Amino acid sequence: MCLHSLVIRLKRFLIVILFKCQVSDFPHASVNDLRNINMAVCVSLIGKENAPKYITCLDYEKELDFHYKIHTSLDIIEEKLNSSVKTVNDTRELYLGLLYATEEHKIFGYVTNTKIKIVIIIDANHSSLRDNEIRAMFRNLHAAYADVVCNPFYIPGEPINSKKFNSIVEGMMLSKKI
Amino acid sequence: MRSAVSVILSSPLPDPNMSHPDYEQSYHHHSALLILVKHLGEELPQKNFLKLFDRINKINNIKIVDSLGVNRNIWARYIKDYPVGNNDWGDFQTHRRLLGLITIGKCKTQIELNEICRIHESLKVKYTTTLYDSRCIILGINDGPNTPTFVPPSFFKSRGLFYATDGEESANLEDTISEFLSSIFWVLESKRHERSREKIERVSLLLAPFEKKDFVGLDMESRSNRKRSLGRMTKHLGDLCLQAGLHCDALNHYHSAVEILRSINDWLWLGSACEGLGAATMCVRYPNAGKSLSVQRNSSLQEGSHMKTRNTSTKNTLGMEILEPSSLPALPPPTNVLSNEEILKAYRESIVHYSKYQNAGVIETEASFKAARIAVELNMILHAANFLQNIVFINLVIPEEQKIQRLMTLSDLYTKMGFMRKASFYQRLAASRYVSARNPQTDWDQCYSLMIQSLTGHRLTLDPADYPMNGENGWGRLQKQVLQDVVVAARRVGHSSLATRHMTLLLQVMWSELTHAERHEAALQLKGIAAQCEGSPVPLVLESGLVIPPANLIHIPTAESFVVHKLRQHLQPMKMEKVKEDYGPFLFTPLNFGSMERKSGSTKDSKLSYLWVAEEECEVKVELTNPLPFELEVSNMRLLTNGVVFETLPLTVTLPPDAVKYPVTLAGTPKEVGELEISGYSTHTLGVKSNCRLKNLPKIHQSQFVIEVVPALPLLEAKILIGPENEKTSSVISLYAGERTVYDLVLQNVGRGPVEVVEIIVDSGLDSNMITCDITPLKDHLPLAEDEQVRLPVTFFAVANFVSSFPPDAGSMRSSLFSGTNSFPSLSSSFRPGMYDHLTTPTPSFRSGPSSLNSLSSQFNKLNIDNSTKGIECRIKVRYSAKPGLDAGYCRVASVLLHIDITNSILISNWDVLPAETSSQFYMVLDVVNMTNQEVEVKYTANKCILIEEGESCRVPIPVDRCPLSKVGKYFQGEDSIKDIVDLNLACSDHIASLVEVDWELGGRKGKASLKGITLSSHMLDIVRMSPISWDVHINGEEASGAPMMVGIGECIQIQIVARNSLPWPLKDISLSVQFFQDYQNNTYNFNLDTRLAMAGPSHLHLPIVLEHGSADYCFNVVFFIPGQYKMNVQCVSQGKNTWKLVPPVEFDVHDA
Repeated sequence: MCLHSLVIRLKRFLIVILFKCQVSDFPHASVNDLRNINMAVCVSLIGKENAPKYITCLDYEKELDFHYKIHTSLDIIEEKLNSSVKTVNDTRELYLGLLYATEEHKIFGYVTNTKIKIVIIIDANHSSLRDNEIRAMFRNLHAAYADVVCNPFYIPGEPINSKKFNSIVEGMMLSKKI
Repeated sequence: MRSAVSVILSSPLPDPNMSHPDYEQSYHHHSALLILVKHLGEELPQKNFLKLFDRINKINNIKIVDSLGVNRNIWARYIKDYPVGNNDWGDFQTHRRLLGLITIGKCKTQIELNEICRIHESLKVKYTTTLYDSRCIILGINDGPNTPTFVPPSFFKSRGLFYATDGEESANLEDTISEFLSSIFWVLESKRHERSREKIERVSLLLAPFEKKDFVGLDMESRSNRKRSLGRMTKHLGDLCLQAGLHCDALNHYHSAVEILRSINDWLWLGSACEGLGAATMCVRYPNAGKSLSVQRNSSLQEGSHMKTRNTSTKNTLGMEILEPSSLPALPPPTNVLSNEEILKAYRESIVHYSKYQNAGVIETEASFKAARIAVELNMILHAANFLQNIVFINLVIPEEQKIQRLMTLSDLYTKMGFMRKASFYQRLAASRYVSARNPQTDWDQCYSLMIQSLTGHRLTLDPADYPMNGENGWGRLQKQVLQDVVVAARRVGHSSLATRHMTLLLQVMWSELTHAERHEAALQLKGIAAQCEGSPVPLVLESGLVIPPANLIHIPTAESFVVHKLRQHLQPMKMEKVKEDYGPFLFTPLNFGSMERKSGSTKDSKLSYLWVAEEECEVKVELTNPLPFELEVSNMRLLTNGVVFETLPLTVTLPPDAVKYPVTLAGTPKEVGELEISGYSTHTLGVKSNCRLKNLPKIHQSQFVIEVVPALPLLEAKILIGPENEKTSSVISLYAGERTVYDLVLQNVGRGPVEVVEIIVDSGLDSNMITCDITPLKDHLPLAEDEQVRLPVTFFAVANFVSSFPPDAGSMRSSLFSGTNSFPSLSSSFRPGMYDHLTTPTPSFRSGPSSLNSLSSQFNKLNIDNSTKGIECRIKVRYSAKPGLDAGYCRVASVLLHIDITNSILISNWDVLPAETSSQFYMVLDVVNMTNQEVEVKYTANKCILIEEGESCRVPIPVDRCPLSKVGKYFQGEDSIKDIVDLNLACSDHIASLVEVDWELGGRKGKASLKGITLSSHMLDIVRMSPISWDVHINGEEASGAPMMVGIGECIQIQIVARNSLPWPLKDISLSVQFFQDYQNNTYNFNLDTRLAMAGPSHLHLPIVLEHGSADYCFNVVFFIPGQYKMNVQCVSQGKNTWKLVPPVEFDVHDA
């Protein structure tokens, strides 16, 4: 029994490594770039079944508010996923762009090929933010998530509780505090 | 989309004129004639009015051929109420003008008629600026003879339609309405013509209501204002054309209006023109699509498969795309028709322009809704979402009620789009608005019902069965909040049973999401709510028809394990006749033979292998964990069962705070026979009754247990009474080896009903003779009635091995017996006359002889090792049964477990055999050791006793009949094989054991020591077994008796010896010999008698064969010379192996003649 699960985990490990190789092929924004563009107020990772795997935000008093925002943004993500026509040999664009905007926040989405959704809420005042920078943030998150899944002790589908992942996410949100 | 410009451009004062947004508006309303249908008077019931309204509403489309022969498709929109403020925007968008008025009333009297007419006229005045025509439908008068006839008052200047009832008599209502519509159309058409013929220079400036004061004092003749007037008029014409069914004309007008208005930056009207353009395009492209499609969309809602239905409806829409513009078939297809994206772009532009004016908020809102609806119909969901997203930012000063309406409309539209989360979000928002502090009339009922509706969007349902056992199901953090809010709402509604139910649901399904503190808090909250109304596991039916399924507190307390227990050993039913189960040739096999077997095995997985008995209390053990940090009282815990009737015993238990795996026993009594399914247990805790089904319990992996209940069985109690008076119950019996005692086995019927069948099985392990039970008294007592008892004597016999396990040490025995004897005769001639004299009475020579003592004590020391109490476990099983269990083939077993301690009594430490005086007997000489710590009296023959001191040993001779030839004769034939020797030994040993028993008595307790297991050496065997040769000795022709022959000196005595073969086969190689000797009675024999006697004839005779039952004759004479006592030994040797002697030797008493 135990052995069996270990084998499964090892298999997964290999698959994820392969996948990571693909991810790393993306034009990567360097970490230094990221330092300058950190203005996410909330970062969340949502599982295949639309249940949150990871969610963190700057302002804990507004946590529930952010939850609602991300939750309702799932509607739009799903719509975007449904409407986008997949070509046979072409990979789908993972970045979904701006999902919607409120007066205070802008909400951006990203969906991996395994239907893991990443949603970032950006303070709307950061009008200087370029699309490119947001993509970079998503790509970094994606890579960080891949690292989490690589851990053979992480069971897919469970909430993420990884220091490394936390530090990456905090890095994205930190600069606002400073 | 909304920019900060709105704040700059709009005046801070809100315009009260347009304060009633119509959220239901759609683009096709732009092309419809607006008609108010008003209910007048009290006489007509609301229901009838609605029926009439529906009838009128069906006449919403007429086809009219105009003066040019063109078919016009005219649509009407009926409404029941219309604020004048909205009517004022009629110049801005003509579809907002109220063109027709229909009033419906019923009257019986003239006064009522007058009143209706008066109201009708006053309504006409109210909308006088826009109204083209009106009808007044009055029921109950002026229609035929059955109705009274009244004359309408003089001020009534409208057309009255009189019907007796709203039923059959009003059959021509539809025609009348059509006629009414066409009359309005023609007025509209004439107005349109009027407008279109106006000279460009003379057109007046059309104004939105709030613009009026802006243009006071401005030069209307300026170039820009002229263009403004023209642009607005063109747009106005477009509106009129659209309403009049000339969609393509309208399109052209809008196009030019957009151009003109854009050039002079008249944003408000540009917005309106853009909107008109979009609406007109939609009308051109989908002339008939409007209504039918929206209906279809609605119907798809209920199924929940929005995506699918939406896609199919999209196909419909696309299919209709190339529909020819029906209104103007003569014209070529318009080239200026917008594409889907362009339509939405036009709407977006119009919304942006509207947003620049705060007073146009309502217009903007409506436009957004219209745009969203169009986007939905065009299947451009993301656009629709964008439009809807914009709506919430429009700041409208409207009553709470309308704000709620707005939220609800948003929610509806989101639902149509399949955005369930958004829809639920707005539903919740609307719900909170119902009870917000700003709302003067809080309405918790509405709030609650909306809360309930919003559950689906959060992947919540009210039925706990819909939740997966494990795994993620939606957004826990939000679900918690949502459910918590539902609880609050239910509480405020005043429906505390609902609140209890929802709180229970929260605790059931959100358990894993709740933190420890939240669980605690929620539990306390539940306790508080449930104090008002107890929760019970039955569906709740609300007045609205909503059924709320039961929820159960399956986690409070948490069941850690659930074990269905066997009945206790003595209550378990057994099969009377055990069917031998075929396990195949293997003790264990992983293979399943036969696929059928495997299948049945897997399905009956939950069936337990053991049985319960009807009418017998049965138990289930549950381990409970209290997850809460306070004492939890769980009352009325019962088992939940299906199948046969089961009477459960309620249990109340108080779990200490944070108790883990607190054991609890749930009991009950099956009342019927058959299969009992145990599916869970019920609890009553925190004021909530719950049914905790095993399948819902996360820690219990079996969904149910099935156990067979067999018919009721009686109950017997069995015990052994011991002690001198048989009065003491005990399971320990101590006996001396060889002791025999009788105790009573008491069987008492302690159950219900008589016991009909009793069977006693004794399982004493080693020796079946140890316990014997006399069941004869039982027969008289059966059936054994309730509370009766029967006593059965049980004999206990302490079976033990009395013979020392060391091999018999004949040498030491012999040396002790004949200590000091050097000239011991050889075995072949072993002859110890007078031996018995010493043996019959113990002589000091061997009782106290130092050598014998030494040897004995040395043996004794060895024996002491074995002098320990031997414990034997045995069991008396009483199988019993009675109806009805007996009929089903079941019984019960009452077993008495006994521990029998056997203490050594006496022991035979050594033994030997000696020939006796007669040929038919021999002496068994035993060394009996007293192993007890008391004096033992040993009785070794019928009348001979001896007392042996504690730890002492004693030697006793016992005369024993020799082993007859019938038992051992066959071994004479060939004694070569080892087996024969062993068998012979055994046969002789058994012979001795059967004859010899040493009785002992010890302080009133008696017993027997058997010689079983005694072993014999070959020389002993010769003595033990009967000689096959029988002798006949004749002296002087007379048969020799045992007494000594009186013979004189010199007398010639003739001795004839006949040796008879008593075996059934011949003996070969026989030699007979005779020897005379003198016995000095002191163990000294003198064989050298040559000088004392003379023999005539051979002293030896050799015969090759003696036939079976044949005889050998041997004759000689003898003469004694000296007086004295002589003895004659006669022996026969067969094949040099076996030697048989004449016993006792013949004696001669020789005296002087």
